[in-house]
Order: sequence, then structure tokens, then C-alpha cells
Amino acid sequence: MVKLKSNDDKEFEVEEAAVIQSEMIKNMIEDGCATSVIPLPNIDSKTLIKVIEYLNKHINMGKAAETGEEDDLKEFDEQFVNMGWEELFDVIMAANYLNIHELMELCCQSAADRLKNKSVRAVREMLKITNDLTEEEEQEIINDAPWAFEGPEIDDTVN
Amino acid sequence: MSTSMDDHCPLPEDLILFNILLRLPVESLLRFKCVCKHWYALIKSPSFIEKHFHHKNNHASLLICNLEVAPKGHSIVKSVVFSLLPKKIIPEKILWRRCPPGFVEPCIWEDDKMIFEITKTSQLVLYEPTTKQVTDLGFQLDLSITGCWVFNYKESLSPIKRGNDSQGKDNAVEKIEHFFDVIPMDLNPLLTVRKSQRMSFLRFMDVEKNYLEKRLIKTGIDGESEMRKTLKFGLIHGFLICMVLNP
Repeated sequence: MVKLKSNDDKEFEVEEAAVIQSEMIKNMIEDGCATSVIPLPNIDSKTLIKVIEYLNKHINMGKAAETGEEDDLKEFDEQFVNMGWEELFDVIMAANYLNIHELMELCCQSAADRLKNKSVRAVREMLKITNDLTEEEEQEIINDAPWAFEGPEIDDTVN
Repeated sequence: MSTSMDDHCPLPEDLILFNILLRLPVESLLRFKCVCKHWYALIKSPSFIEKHFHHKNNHASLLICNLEVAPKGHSIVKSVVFSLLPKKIIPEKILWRRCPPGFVEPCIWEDDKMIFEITKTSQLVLYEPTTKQVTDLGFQLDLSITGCWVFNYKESLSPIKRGNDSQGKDNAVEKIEHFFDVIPMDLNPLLTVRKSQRMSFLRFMDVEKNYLEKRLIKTGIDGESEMRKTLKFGLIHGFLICMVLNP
């Protein structure tokens, strides 16, 4: 077992087989730097719990194909990314820091899928972005490719 | 969502934004340039452009090559767009997986066809992996010019025999125009298309500074129903992009 410590001083025990999906921790273990508790100063306990949940579920990724658990895993992934923007970004940050490639992929793709068909206004509102372009600048961008701004697929809702 | 992010952008680092935008299709990116200055600068940056093209999940390549203007088996005229951008932004996977021996650098690929530039002669050919037939497009590339080219070819192009065999008139590429970064205003229509039984109308409706839109109105096979499709063209990353949009 490997012990991880979040930045709010909570400790979590994780099986080595699960935790080595993180390249960073895998390297630490290989280099013999993971003898006691591994402190993770960038990750809070709430996010770390999510990440560990993912690691535990994906522990036997290779076996999933053999045992027909692929669908199960897919369903888990779909449920997993069903979270608010802030939480999602926290997990992405953690996945990036811990270097967990699959998790990074999953979360970034989920974010992209949510944004894909959104209108500019909806994106700004969802991500709390202040528009700092002038009206002229904005119009110029629209004129460059007006077709990208119109069409029935464009979604102006913010959920 | 908790209250801690109410007043600021929750995208904590460029790295994350970068990674998310990479996965978006070109159309979304063109729109999201309008979100704020920061997004605009990022989407326009050369490092992003290159990474985006390479990325597997954003359908960037589909936008370029999804050019079928009629249902399979009934295509008569197709518009083909390809790019002469630097080799490094042709997706390596496709190069590696599909390039038949003796050819290099497919410039465009469709479901089952690709155009390869033959290095030595800079001759353009169409290669069909299924039949392994090679068709000469009768056009020499000027390799000193970088930019996008657009031309039409007929589905019935016969396979090339060898060497200097002359092409029948029907098999010749009818008109080729070369685009630089900005489509010249004075080239209208930019594409000319032969009339045929099924294709009643195909021309550019509008030519503006750097985008084109045209409508294709096609009479259905039964001669009655009209099938309307909109072809949308846009320039991004130096590519001329063609999309076929269903009504």
C-alpha cells in the first residue's frame, strides 16, 4: 500500500497497483522516494478522493477487455465525469500533476464535448469569462467565418 | 458549483485550456475565438495550430476531407481540396498506415481515395486502395508555391496507363485555381463544374474576403425530389476547408 497526503493533511491508502497508473508516483516508487507518505501539495482531499476512485476502478484496465468488463468501465467513466466545471478542472489539474494520462484524456474530452456546440455567450457564462474584445474586434472575427456562428446545432444554454 | 469560482474564470491554467481546446473541431474554434482576447490569442498561436492538427479527437482532418457531394455510387463531380502545407502537419498516422509503396505524402484522403504527390515529377495522382488503381489528375504541382489548391475532377476519370498517354477530354481536370492565404476577390466563380444529368447547379453564391459558401442543389435520382446541401468553405490554418452540411 502507498500512502498519499492531500494538501489539507488527510492521508489515503492506495494499492500500489492502482497508484502506479500515475507516472509521477510510479517514478517515485521506482526511485525509492516513496518510502513513507507521499505529500501532494497541489491536491485537496476532495479531488484526491475522486482521483483515487478512478484509479481503483481502472486498476485492472488490461483485464477488463478479457473479462468483458469494458462496458462497465465505460459506464463508470461516463458517471465519473458527471461533475461541475470547478470539480472537473480540479481533477484535470490533479491528473496533469500526477501524470495520469487516461484520466487527463477522459476529463479534457468531457470538457471539450460540453463546450463543442455552445454559443460564445454560453461559454462565457459557463466559465465565468469576461469578454474583453471590443465590438469591432468581435465583428471582425465573426466576419472571418460567419458560418461558424450560425446553425441549428449551436446551443445557447448554459448547463 | 461552489462559490469560490464565482468571480473569475475557473480555467486555472493555460495548460488545461490548451488541452481542452485541442479536442474541439475547427468550427467550434472559429467561434470561440470570440470568447475573449486570451482565447483568441491561444487559438491563433502557431503552437496550438500545429498541435490541434495532430490531435486525434477533434476531427480536424475530417473537415478537410469530407467532400462527397453526392451519395456513394452516384457521385459525378467532386470538389477536392488539399493542402501543400509543410509536411509536418500531415497526420503521421495516416501517412504511415495508408501510403502505398512507391508514393509519398498523400495530400488528401477520402473514405477510400487519396491523392498522392509523386516526389520526382510532382505529378498528382489519385490512388484507390481498394482497386489499387492510380489515376493521373493531369496536373503538375509547382512545388515552390505553398498554399491551397482547389479543383474538380470527374468520378469517371480513367486510370492512367503509363507515361505520356494522352487524357481524353472528359478525364481532364477542368479548372484549377490556386489560393494563397486569402482567396482573391476577382476569381468568381472559383470552381467551374460541368453540367451533368444529376448535377444541375453548383457554383459559388458568395465570395467574400476569406470565406465562401455555396449551395448545391441536386436533383434526386428519381428526378423529382431535390436534395439540397450546403457546402461551406472557410480558411483556417492555411487550409481551405470544405464541409458538406446536410439540410
